[in-house]
Amino acid sequence: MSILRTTHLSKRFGKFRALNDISMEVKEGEVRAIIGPNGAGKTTFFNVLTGKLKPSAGEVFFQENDITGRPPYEIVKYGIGRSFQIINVFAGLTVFENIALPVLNIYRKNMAFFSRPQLRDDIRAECFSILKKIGLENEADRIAGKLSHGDKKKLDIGISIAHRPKLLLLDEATAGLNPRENRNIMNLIREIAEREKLTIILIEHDMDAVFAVSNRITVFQQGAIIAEGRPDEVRTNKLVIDAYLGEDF
Amino acid sequence: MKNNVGLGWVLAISTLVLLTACPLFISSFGLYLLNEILIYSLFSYGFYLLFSHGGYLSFGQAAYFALGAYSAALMYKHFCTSIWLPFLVAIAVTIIVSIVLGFLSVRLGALYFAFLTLAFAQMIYAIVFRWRDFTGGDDGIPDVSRGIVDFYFTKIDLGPPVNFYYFTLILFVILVYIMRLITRSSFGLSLRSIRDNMDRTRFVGVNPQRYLLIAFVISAIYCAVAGALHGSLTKMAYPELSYWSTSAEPIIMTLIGGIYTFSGPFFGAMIYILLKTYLMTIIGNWVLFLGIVLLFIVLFFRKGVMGFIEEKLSVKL
Repeated sequence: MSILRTTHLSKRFGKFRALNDISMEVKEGEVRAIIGPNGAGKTTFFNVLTGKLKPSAGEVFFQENDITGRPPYEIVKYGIGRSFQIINVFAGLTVFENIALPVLNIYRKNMAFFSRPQLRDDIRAECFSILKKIGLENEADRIAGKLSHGDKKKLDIGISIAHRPKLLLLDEATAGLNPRENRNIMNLIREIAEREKLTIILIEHDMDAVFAVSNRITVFQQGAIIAEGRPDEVRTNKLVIDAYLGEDF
Repeated sequence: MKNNVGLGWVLAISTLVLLTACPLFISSFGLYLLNEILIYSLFSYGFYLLFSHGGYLSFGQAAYFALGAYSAALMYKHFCTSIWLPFLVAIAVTIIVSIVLGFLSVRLGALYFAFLTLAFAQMIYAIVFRWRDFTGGDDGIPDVSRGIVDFYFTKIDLGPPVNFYYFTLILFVILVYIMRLITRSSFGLSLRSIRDNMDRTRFVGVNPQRYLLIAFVISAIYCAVAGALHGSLTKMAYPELSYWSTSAEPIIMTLIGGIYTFSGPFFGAMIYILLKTYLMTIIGNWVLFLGIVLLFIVLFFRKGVMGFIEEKLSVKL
């Protein structure tokens, strides 16, 4: 069954076509990688899926619900989580509070005027189980802005899985990390995907990571899909080699 | 910070004991000043919720200060002597007006919010100033009553300054306690997430506009209650209550006390009012002095007086 389906999705900025007629289907439980050169429209695609941008044309269906053009805070509630290319955490809040915000959303307690999230056992337990998954349980009281780059990346992913999404969009989760941290994050993603039975779409430039974790790959170029298939198919596709991978690969 | 959590409570309770005992040994002028300090700190707490937690600086909270003062004053004047109805009407009018104006103000981001709140407050000033038949124009409404608390069998006349002071103090304690709960609640956290990173807030399922609007209405209620009390204390409601310079007062008080410190608005109001009152008798040009004080705070004590003490003692105040 498909969890996400887009039909003829387009996004124009003035005359520039950032996304051009993207029709794509992702099955439940899949780990899909989106690759392509800079400016191919990968992040724009995520922005349109998650409601950060409204599409110029086309539709987005999540579990067959039409979510086209809905605002982010509603799309989150359908069960789509995302992390960001440039670290996007609540730098002035503590690590615990960063995770508590999406967790409160599951319990519909964001609007509670008189109860402290720290004092509710169920919310506290849920937050610490997420912190444990991302390995930050000992940093709960630290201000997020003071974490190392790698830990911030982990926190960013933690925030995006804390509201129990069914589909997780990861925008260059390993960008700017050293090889060891890179491996940690990739392992973390694989673990979470298996344990939570999450469907994942990831944008990634690190080809080793892409071929290691994904079971299908979609290749973007100039806002359009030029190829799609299993990793071994994409690796040998002539178009993809010319556009992106190069002869060496 | 962990070792000193108790110190915040010590400060709160000793301040409360002092405020309760003050009428026993303070002069009548001193009591009036203290009453004014309580009222202006409520006004400042209204500003504080929006600015310190939501990150939205309102330059027009005087609109609700005046709305509270005028609503209560008109009710006392034309309908009743009991306090309940004037306060209820003041709050109801404020909720309606702040929902409409808040809805229009929070949509375009923090900078436009400051401009729009200022513009709306000036509009309210113009209405109050021009609508002579209803508001008394620039004469305002003189001889505003302080009302009577009738609660089952007891009737307490708030006319005597001591009675009115204790009435203000009770409201002050209740409202500051509620503010404390709100700022530490899940709602308060959601509000701070907007201040910290509004973009990301949307992706954790929080609609920033909605939360800011609710914070705006709560803030307006605090300003209106302060306004209603101010009308009774000074026995006057006048157009300047809604003027932009009145909107600046809670901003300055909160800045002096410390924008990110819970006790900041209270101690800020205290310092501001004491400086203003006593310096005006010594140096005529108090505004110039105020400018210097503000400059000094912005340059060297960016966290305000209480924020500075917090940092030095590493304690939450």
